Amino acid sequence: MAGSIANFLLSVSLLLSISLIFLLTIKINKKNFENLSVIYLCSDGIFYLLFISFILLVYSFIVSDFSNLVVYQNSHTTKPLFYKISGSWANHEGSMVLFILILSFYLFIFTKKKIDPELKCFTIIFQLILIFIFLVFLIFTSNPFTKILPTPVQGLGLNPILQDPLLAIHPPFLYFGYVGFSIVFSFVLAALMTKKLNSFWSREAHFFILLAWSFLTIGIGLGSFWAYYELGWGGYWFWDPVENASLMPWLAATALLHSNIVTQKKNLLYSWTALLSIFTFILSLLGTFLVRSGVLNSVHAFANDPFRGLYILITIFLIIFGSLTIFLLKNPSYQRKNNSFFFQKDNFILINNCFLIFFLSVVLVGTVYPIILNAINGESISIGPIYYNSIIKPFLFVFIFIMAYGPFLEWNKNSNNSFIKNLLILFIISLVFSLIFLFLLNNKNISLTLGILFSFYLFLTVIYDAFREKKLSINLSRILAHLGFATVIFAIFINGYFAKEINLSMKVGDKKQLENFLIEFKNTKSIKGPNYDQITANFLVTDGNKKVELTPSIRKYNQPAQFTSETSIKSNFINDYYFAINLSQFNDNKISLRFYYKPLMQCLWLGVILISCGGIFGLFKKKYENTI
Amino acid sequence: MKIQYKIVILFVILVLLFLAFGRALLKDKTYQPTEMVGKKVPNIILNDFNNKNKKISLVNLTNNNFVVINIWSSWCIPCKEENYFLLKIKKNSKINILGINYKDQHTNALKFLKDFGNPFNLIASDTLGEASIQLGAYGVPETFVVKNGIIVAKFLGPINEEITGTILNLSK
Amino acid sequence: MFLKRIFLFLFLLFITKQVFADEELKIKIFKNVRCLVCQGQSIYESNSDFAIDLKNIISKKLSNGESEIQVYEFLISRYGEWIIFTPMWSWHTLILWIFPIFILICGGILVFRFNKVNK
Repeated sequence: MAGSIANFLLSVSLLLSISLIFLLTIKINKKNFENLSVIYLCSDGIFYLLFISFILLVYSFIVSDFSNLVVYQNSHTTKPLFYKISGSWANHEGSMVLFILILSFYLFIFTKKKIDPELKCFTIIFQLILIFIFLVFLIFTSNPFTKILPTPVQGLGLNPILQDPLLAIHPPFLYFGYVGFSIVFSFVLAALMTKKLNSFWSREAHFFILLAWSFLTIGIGLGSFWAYYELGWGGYWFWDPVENASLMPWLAATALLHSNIVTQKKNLLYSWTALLSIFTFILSLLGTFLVRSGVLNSVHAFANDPFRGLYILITIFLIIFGSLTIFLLKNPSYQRKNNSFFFQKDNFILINNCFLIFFLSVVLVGTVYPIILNAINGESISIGPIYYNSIIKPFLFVFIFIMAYGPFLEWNKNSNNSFIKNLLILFIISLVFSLIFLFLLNNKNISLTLGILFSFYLFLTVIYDAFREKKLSINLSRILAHLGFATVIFAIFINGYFAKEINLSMKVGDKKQLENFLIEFKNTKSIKGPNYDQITANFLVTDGNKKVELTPSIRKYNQPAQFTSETSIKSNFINDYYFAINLSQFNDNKISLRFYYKPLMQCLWLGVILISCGGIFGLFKKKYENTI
Repeated sequence: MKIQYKIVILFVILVLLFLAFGRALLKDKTYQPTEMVGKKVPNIILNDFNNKNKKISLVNLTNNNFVVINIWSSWCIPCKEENYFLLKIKKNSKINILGINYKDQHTNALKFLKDFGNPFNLIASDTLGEASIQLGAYGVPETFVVKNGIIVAKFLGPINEEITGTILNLSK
Repeated sequence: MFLKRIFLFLFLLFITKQVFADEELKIKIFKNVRCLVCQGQSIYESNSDFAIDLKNIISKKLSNGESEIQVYEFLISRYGEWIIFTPMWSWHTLILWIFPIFILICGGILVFRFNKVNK
């Protein structure tokens, strides 16, 4: 019942979107912008319709309606309610519903903005076209309300690895990020069409860019945190193609965020900002394609039939071709202002924009090239962390240096202020600090020294930046985000060079001294969970005078019957102690385990939180228009 | 440059990328390493399955000979279907088939042969899975066709009617 | 082959950290070898039969005094370049380095032009 209603609602919203597109085209041709409120009402209607069908899908999951194919394939009556709900978007069909719902959600907020009617109508058309394309995809190739007859008594269950609170909220955040750039995309195309790409556009777009960027940052952070504690290999970033797929739009969006500030402040870089707006969304779509089409061999990829992939591929190429053609035809040429100098803020933002695009190109070529090469001549190559790290790392230092320097420059004159002179002092302080630090830790690695030097330098300059103005709130957004970035880089370097991992095999009662750790296997305990049985092993780790109790466990889920290894992580802010049991090696009553010692992991997460806080604070900053 | 040219160039690049991605999408994504095909059989000494003290040298065995090497195990389900075709090869020709029993319990393997039939002229044990890595295999079942000490063909997964025909042709 | 070898050597010289202990070298190699039966994981991150066998054979080779490069060469000769996460230097992987450099040069030109027009 719920299924047929939802199917009907989806069809209605499809019809509504196509008729609205026609109606708006006619209005634009006639230049008649009266009675727009009806149109806004209809576009809100699409959002409500999609929202109800999404709720109906969630409802089918909650009541375990197994006459619905998607529910049957991904749910089970014994699953906890929370995972029944999150299960509705943990599969291909459900996640596409969420994708489209968010497309219409952004349209919904956009129509509430006070914008020139012509610009607004064009934006709505482009956004409706996107909604239409993906609705067709949803209804005809991946319908979430397909019925099965006869109705099965029980469902197949959700992959246990996906039954995790963080993974339940990770996809919505990621989608709010990815899809948020759709409205920026539609908005920039509209501005190109109407020749209204100006500082007003830039101010309005800033809100959406920042909103989507903040969501995307949180989404990536959550995904990384999930990989850290759930996959159990002590890593937080694997340079897996699917992770890269979310990193690429983030890099492009970060560049866009900054170039748009230049556009706003100085009326410059219009084409560059427009191009970045287009590419950010295209990269989000590319990410969707890589994940959804099964073109990848990856932990995350949902392998499914190639025709879905082909449909997404065709639409992506039409969208890319269409948008770039509009860009080429309507690309504005603006007069540039004179009296500019090299040591000026806009210049430094542009330089770092180039570095961001360079990092993006590394990730892009590393992710996509193996696929293309294999298609062309059948050769298979793998590209892993070593490639990315070794190319990105040297440029990262330059990037951070410029990032630290830029905020102290002026927009419009050759800066020669006292702040700049103090930067040299800060640099010397950081140099001394990093040398002392490494001397104490007894490590002479050059790359580590540079990493600590530059991240610490950035840290100091941001603190200095925060205190040079009387009112902190003026630049708080930038300060938080840059502080977060410095923290993340610092934590990555320290973690990369001082993390330890020990493989051991022990039986109950064993005591082992390994490096500085005394590890004691105390006992085991059996627990019964809602839909799994669990055996927990209790360990006591003594590190110097610190004592940490750790309880890694193994779970046997009943539906589908599958074993998972649950990690145990204890943290004292500076270090993480991390235990995970190997799933397949049991002999002579011994279990084999992996013990990880991971310094500064909490700092890394804190840094990600700071970066997103910077973004979120920027959203509420309207009052302080005159930031520097 | 004129805008029309730019658009044409954009179009061409996109079409090329589209074709590449489309092809990647429709391609079978199981990885089939063919590195060992055309190379000499690696020099491996294996234990005989029936007699632990007897050694089998792959190089000596395949020298001046046509041998089919099949990696199997009793716990491998596709191996059961495959067994039928191996028996067929044995019945219809004089091809020597060497079975490499991969990471298996001896008793289970014996039971497997009793239940489904024994197509092998000779069986070697690979209890640590080392031999199969030396051969460039990464799962069970895999089949190698060796002619005069050179690997001429390799098949991933169970043998079927078609592969049986190919093997028989190769032996001529 | 010789060129490839030199390249691999240089590449390994510059990567993440210098490795001193045998155990660390082992883990580093494990992390650089793809588990062919898994999805996108290294053998370090897998407990499949194939990964366990490979780990054993690599440990054996290392304790026989073989170098990291020799281990990689052995694996490539059996399974192709797909098995190593570090791409090899050859004409078909050239674009992995040329493309980012090309983008960087384009960026340089952009910055240069931006400044020139400004003045």
